[in-house]
Amino acid sequence: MNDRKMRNSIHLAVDGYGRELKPDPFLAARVRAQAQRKDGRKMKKIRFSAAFILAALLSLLTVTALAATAYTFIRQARSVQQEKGPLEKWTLEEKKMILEAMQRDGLALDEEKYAALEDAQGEAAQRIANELLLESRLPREALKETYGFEEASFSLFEKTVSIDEAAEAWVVAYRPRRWEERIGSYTVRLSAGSGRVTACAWSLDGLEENAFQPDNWHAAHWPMERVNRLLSFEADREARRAEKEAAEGPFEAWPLRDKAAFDEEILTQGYPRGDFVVNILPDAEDIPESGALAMAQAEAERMGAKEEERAAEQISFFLMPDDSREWLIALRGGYTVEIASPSGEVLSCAGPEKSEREESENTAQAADGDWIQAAWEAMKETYGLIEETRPFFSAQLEGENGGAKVTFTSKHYNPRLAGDYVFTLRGETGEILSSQWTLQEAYAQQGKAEPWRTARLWSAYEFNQEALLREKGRKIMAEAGSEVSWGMDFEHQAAYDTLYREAGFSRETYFHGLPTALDIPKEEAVFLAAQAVKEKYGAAEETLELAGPALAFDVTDPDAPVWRVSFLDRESMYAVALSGAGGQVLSCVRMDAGN
Amino acid sequence: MLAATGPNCNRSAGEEFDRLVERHQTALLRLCMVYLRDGELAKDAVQETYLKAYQALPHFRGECGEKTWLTRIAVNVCRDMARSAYFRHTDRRVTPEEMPDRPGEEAPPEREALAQALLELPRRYKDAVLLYYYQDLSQEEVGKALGLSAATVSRRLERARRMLKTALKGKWENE
Repeated sequence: MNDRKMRNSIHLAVDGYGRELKPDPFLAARVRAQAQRKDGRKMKKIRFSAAFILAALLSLLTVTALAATAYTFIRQARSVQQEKGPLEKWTLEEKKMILEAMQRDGLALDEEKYAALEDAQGEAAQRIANELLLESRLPREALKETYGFEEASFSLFEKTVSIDEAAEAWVVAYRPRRWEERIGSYTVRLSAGSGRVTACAWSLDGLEENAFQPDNWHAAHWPMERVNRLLSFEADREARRAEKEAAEGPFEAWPLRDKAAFDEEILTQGYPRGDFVVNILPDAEDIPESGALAMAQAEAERMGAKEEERAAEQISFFLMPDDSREWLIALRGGYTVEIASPSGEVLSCAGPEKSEREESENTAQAADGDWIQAAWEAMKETYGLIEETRPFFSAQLEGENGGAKVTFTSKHYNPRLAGDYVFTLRGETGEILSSQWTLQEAYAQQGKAEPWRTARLWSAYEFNQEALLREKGRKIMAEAGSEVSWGMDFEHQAAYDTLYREAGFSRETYFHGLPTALDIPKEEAVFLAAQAVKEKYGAAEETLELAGPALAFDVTDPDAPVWRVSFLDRESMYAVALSGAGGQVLSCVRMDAGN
Repeated sequence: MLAATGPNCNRSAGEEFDRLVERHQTALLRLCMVYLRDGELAKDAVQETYLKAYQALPHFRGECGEKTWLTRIAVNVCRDMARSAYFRHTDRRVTPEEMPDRPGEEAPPEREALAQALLELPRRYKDAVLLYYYQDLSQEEVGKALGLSAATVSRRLERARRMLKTALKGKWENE
């Protein structure tokens, strides 16, 4: 792999890895409020994750088994399943076909929802169909009762729903996302005829008791009680640490022995530490604390640290994930030194922030504009790109045999997805001598994807679609009088996000939607949210009136949409999540700018 | 470059800041996600990054690209957080295989493998790889950001490439 391929691959890998993270529309406002309150004091982080965590949990609730009678519909469902895979990949028509078969088989469907399905379109229709097909939550209840699952523990599992070979039962399987060998997997069977739970099984049922000993995470296998404990262990440690930090200051600044004592239980309990470091004390073979500090100070001095900048600020000694040991010493002047022990190798020495350097840009100079323009015109003509896509590309100009070579590379998308468009031009006339698109053959094999945004390789078609999409998005923003894509009123924001979702963009990023007839209206959502805040925090009516609300109908999970109502002022933010359909309060939290 | 549209033009600092948040938030989230391997921590890191940027904005003269500027801040924030107690003792990471499938958005296996191999690099190698290959800094700039000489950066990159090659085995040349 050459350097350029390496760069492309890493861009793709990193972009792909973080693709699920959605931008926070409140970030700019919150940061400003936080900065205004700072007053020279070090601020603690504001955490806004509770609602998102809950939303993630809820997403696991939605795909559950169907209370069904056997016969036609289940055979049809099996057939669709074999062809298309899980329910998420079924078309609306296929779902409607199954629902019709269910009616013919005598199943009583919710009449109100079934009627609403007739009138609904797009995502709303998909959601209603899913609800009609899969609204039982029996498997979760069965696992709670039989094996002691707690609600939070389901977050560790991935669920799949299938129909068994004999077409007699729905099989709901829960497989842990991590530590499968230790946790095992769970299965719940529901009779296709009655919809009742007929069996609950655990892959580790029948193991001898000693397989679960000792009673901590050193054991080869973990019953559900220990899995539950794993989650509470983290929370308990957080609470204890916070209490001690309140009295003694930040963890990093605690004495070495206190940090090691605090972390000791991680080792004794066998808590799966992954690649996290653990604070320990050095033993006789390790570099002693005084020696490590002297080495760190020498390194800092070499980097130009003055004497007063070389005083120790924080000293830690770590057991690393690979069981190597390492000193980490932070000095007052912002120098941080890592030293391997017992070898004494200086692993890194970072100084305080340096001034920024001029960013190197590989763009053509103005005098080269004619060459580039000529190549761009050829690019449009040859490959069908529209003018609006020009901002998507950067151009690189190189002299070649008295003429020029112009290469257009995508600025906004990874070059591996878009390829290079390369043109050679004759020296005197600027005539185009050759043109090449490096993905021509690969794209021909791939063909067009549906929706277009999901295509792995992008041709002119996808770039044109992208440009048109942005134009539509800009129009919605203009209608809303907004210059940013996340600052629109409720209806325009929903229209904007729907546009992007339907083009294949992530639902988590473009999560705003509109409620259907089955959901509570926004006025009711605001009322219920305000009630929840008043009851929980005693907030006054006038405070809430002044503070908002900001509204979102979050359709990240189309089967379980969530009303998100926030009351935001300069001091704090009340964030309430309500189920879209019933208005039940899923979470109600207050986040103060200073905590 | 920020200078052309930055604090010296007609926009207010607040508007400029909003633009910075809108334009770079997603890329910073992804970068922080790889450093911290946890979505919630990455969000925190981005918030902290923008807080520092907001405070420094009046002094930012557009001497470098805004992306480089924000990246430098974010890397330092991530390094601080990676050393913090919260990071060390809270196993809330998300790995690629834990992420829910999304029709049409599945990454090819080789990309997943590279992401996984990248995540598993020791931090000092991962730092160099991300800054050099993902943030497109020069080796000298990477060195300045990490407090290393350019020669050390070069050695670390070479070592990282070998480690990735080993981790990816036969998939390497096909990339």
